[in-house]
Amino acid sequence: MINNEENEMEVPKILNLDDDFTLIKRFNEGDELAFKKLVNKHKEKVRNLVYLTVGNSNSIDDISQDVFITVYKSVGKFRFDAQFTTWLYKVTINKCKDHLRKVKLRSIFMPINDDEEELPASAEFNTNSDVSEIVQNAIRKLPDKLRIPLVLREIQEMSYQEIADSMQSEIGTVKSRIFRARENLKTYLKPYEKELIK
Amino acid sequence: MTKYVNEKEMLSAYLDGELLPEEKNLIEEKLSYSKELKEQLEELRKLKALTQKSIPLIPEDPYFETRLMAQIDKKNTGSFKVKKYVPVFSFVLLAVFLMVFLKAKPDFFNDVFDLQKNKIASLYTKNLKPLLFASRLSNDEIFNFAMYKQLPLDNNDKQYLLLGYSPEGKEYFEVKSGNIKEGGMDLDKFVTALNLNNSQKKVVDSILNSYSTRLQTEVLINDNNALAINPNLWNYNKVIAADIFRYAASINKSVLNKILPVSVSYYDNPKVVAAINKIKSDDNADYIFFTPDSIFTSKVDKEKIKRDLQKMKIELRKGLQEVNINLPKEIRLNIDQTIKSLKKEKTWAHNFKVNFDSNECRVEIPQIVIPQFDMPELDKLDERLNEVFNNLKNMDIKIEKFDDNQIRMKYRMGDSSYEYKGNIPNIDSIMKDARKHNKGNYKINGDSLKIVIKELQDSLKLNFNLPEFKEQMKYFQKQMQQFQEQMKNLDTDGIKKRIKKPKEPVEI
Repeated sequence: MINNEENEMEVPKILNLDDDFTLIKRFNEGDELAFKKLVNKHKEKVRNLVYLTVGNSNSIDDISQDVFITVYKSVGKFRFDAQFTTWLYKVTINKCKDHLRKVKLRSIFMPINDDEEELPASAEFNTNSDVSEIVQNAIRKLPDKLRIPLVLREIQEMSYQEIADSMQSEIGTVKSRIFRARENLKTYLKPYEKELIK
Repeated sequence: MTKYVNEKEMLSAYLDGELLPEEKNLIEEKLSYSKELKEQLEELRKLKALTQKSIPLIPEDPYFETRLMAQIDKKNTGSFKVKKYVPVFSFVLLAVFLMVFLKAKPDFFNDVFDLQKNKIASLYTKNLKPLLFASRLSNDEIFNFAMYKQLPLDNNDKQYLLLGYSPEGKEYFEVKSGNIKEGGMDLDKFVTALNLNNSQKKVVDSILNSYSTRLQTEVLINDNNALAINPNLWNYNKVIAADIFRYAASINKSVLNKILPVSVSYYDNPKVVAAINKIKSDDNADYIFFTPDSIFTSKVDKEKIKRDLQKMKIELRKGLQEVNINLPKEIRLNIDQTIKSLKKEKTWAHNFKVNFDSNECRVEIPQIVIPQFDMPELDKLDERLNEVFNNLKNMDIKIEKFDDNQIRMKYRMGDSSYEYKGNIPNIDSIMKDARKHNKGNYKINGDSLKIVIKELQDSLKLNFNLPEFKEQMKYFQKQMQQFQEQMKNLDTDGIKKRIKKPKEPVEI
């Protein structure tokens, strides 16, 4: 029985938009299993988005769980006028922003001890690191407002419109920020051009 | 510069397929002739591929849903906020409920308290028995109650009931420990002072006795250590005294006038008679209960008490005595411990004012209707009665000879001595004789009477050996017959002649 459910949960890759709506409706009607399917379908995207946005693996699951608890409580208010993922990522980004705000605030009062959220500076990049690590460090170095739309585009493969909706901004802003993120990345990665060519 | 940035930005968007069709056409046109733009596009394409390739997805978490659902269950998600506020909601709901409920049923709590009171009351109102019957209330005690408002509550003089007035003038009951404080006036003294003869004394006794039966139903006790007192005792206290004074006034107004500070004629007042009759016919069944738990009022089935009392009397007459009556002879109301504990709990009905002392418990009666006629201040009677009593002339009787046929005795009144010789008379004839010579009041000293009685006893010399006893009884009967005949043929004039007249008239 469990295996059947797991098999069902493997299907989301080919589900269309209406599948999310159906699951939400079923959940709103009291079907707890529909919510589990919804979580199973989107959890990894949310976890990775959190990871790429916050950059700290210790907080990934806490924030991700918090995202889905919010969904659980608020999905009854979902109006079905946009994709579920747009709303889901909007919730996720807000949670991430809340987290980052807290970390920043904490770092003001504990600047010496609290270094777990510090992103490595470009100068500290290890020349022996592999390409992936160099690129990851470069991405982490990007400011939040540039990193998040870039990640949503490259990893989550979201459209500019979806990103704008998720970040509650304009599509032109998203377009501009993704361009600037790429320009910054090129600058950060310039010193490692040889390694990257390899 | 701006144009340059815009081109590069469009190139970035072009790479992502996010340009509008006209923008796309424009940039593709530029790309067709600009080698530099082509190189920039290629550079961006490599960077994009590198970015997508370099960012690893974090490992899947197979327990994510399990932990999530557990957390949701724990917080109960939708209701966890409600749970947090459950105490507040509950309190508010309860308050609202009580407001609505009490609006609809304002007497609810009073009813509940009354129910509880009734439950307690039922415990203490069962099996009530008349205490005063058990303690064999005597006429002396009833007289003392009428004069001094004290009633004994047990046979051992350990506790008594006192009626009194608070400084504010309110009537109160007190259950007091200790002996009754004896006043200067008792029944004997009163009867003697009024110079009542035997039949008159019997009337006084019958008056007191008629109240005895009534008083017996006014103080009740049961096995649960409850003492029930009828506030009607106040009325009885007043009317018993009034009744006695009323009768005394009809016999000897002059003496009663000296004893009482108010006019004797007042006791012939129809108001007094009406009050006496009303109290006698009134059957108040509301009693005040002193219990280990509370002090409260409750109705008592007085008819049942009366029936029980009647049965007990019949049993007593049959000689079954108190063994079968099974009455408690002593109230166990312990003022020091039981009543004192009430002070802390304050569980008595709020319309009582209850005061405690080391050896007393005082309950003020809020509402009591007492017959509206003035009574003398009985506290002052002692002094007046003693004054009258001391003015009585003593008559000492000494019997010098007492045999089968004759008696010779000397008697003295004041400073004068008299001698009497003759056949055996009775004391009343001597008294009657003396009264003819001296208009006044007399008392017979106890010692003198004792001598007479002792002489009589000695002359009989009873022997309980059966044959001898029979003979003695025959002799005694014969003597009594002779005595009766002598009394019938008694020549009072002859006696008069033999009695010396007093030298000086006796003044009272």
